[in-house]
Amino acid sequence: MKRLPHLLLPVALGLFATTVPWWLAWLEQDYYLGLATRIVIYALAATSLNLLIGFSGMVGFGHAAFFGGAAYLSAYLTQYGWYSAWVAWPLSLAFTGVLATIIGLFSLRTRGVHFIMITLAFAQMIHYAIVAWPAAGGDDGLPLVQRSSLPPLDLADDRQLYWLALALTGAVLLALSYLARTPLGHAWIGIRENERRMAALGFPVLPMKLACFVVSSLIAGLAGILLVQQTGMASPTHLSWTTSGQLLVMALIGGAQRITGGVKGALILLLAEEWLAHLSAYPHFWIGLLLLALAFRGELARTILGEKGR
Amino acid sequence: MTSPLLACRGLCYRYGALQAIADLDFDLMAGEMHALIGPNGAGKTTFVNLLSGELPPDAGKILLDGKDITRAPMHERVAAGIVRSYQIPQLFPRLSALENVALALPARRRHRYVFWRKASTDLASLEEAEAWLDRVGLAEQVGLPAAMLSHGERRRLELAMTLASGARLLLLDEPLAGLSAEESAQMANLIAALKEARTVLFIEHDLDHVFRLAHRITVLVEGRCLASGDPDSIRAHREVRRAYLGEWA
Ligand SMILES: Nc1ncnc2c1ncn2[C@@H]1O[C@H](COP(=O)(O)OP(=O)(O)O)[C@@H](O)[C@H]1O
Ligand SMILES: [Mg+2]
Repeated sequence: MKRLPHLLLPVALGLFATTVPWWLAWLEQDYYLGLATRIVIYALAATSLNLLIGFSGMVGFGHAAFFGGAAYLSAYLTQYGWYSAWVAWPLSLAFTGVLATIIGLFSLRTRGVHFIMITLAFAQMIHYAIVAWPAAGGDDGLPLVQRSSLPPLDLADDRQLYWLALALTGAVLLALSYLARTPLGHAWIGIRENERRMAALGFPVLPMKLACFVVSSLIAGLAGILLVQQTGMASPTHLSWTTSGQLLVMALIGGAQRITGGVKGALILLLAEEWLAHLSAYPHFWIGLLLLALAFRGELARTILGEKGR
Repeated sequence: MTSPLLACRGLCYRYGALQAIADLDFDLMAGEMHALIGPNGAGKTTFVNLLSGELPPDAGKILLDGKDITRAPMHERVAAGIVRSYQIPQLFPRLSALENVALALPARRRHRYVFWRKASTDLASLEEAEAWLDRVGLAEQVGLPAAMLSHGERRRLELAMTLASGARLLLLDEPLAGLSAEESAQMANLIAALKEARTVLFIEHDLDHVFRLAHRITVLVEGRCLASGDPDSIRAHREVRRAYLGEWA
């Protein structure tokens, strides 16, 4: 029965998250449903990095390419009347998967700082390629003609979109926590812990890392597709390195090697942004300060409390 | 005459200007316990790196069962039955001793892409991993993270992983390094118990252990084979005595 308290928190949080639209309606704050949806979607995007970092130890700094790439393609398809989510979304994900395979094949031969730089470089190339492409709307971005049709759901209803995003994020989190216990998850964790040894034990490390990279990119792509549904627009920001950085920060502050790290990080960062934007004309200064505090929280506690910390 | 399990011809490797392995010929017979000795920096670890596929030779050939594996990637060599251990134990520090060994099992290599069932449902593998830990005397440490083990225990875990891989040819890089006399004797017994069952190439400095364990000994100096033969002939070898054994005698 030791598992019970273990499950209590996620179940309570899940119940709360599911009922958020009703709470907001009751408080007459429906405006915040958009924020709640964005938090859930960014949590999903950041989780993709928790998979990459937590399982195989690769710090990707170019996930905006997959997040934004899928966002653009799904928006682009609506320009041609491809409204069915059953068609447009898998197509966008397939494109993301191909992109991730190509980028992965080049970048996975490097590690550490080199890996960070090369994933960033690829993402920048894709950013500029898409913004320079006339059909993608340049700096203005690409509007979504209408939200996808996904019967029996009606995504034009903000609540249903929120619930869909929540269900997908929840499903990914559950899948990843299951994955951590499977032979594939163990092999990825082995690569994170000691890549050289895994190779010596006969694991083809490169294809296994590529698999992790592609799965992670697909999750980021799914988040991008959902975000476009919410904002009604694929914008160059989604492709920018600042988005890669933001996702990375979310994954890191929530605990990079925890599957739930991205959820925590997205909640903290987006709520802080919203709240500070009301309080101050310089929200980003305060966010920077908050990040520093989070990064050095062990140190900080020690300095302030004079304890040994941790 | 039977053909060797592993054969090297004209093997060369250089680090920049340093010729670490120079035109080396080498044969390993199936079932043999073969010791590789030589002073520090002789190129012993480099040789193991070439055999295991961690480094690509500059020239020469490596044959396993007569098949050319010179350019085969590491995982193919493992599949073909060659597994190495490391001079400095290469473990998974935050994983339990059990999980360290479980990752080495052939079943885990085969099921590496299995994502639909939990690893813990493979009870046979877990039992097998436990049996290997028991064999090297780590039965008590099954659940401990590798980072918490003592040096001697890490060495034994390193050996357990190499054994668990199921390889028929083991390349053991200084399995006795840094062990106390008592621990060395235990480890030497574990290695002696592999005779007949596996083919072993091991690197060791302590000549007492070498002469007791090995069927055959190869002396490596500056990347070249100075002598190779049974323990008696090595003991009697004049050049070896002068150039090498003299240091210890
Ligand atoms: N990665 C490396 N880069 C440059 N030189 C190396 C490297 N590894 C080993 N060497 C050199 O190659 C020679 C052989 O090293 P090694 O194979 O480790 O010897 P041994 O295991 O016999 O002590 C030594 O002179 C060593 O300094
Ligand atoms: Mg060495």
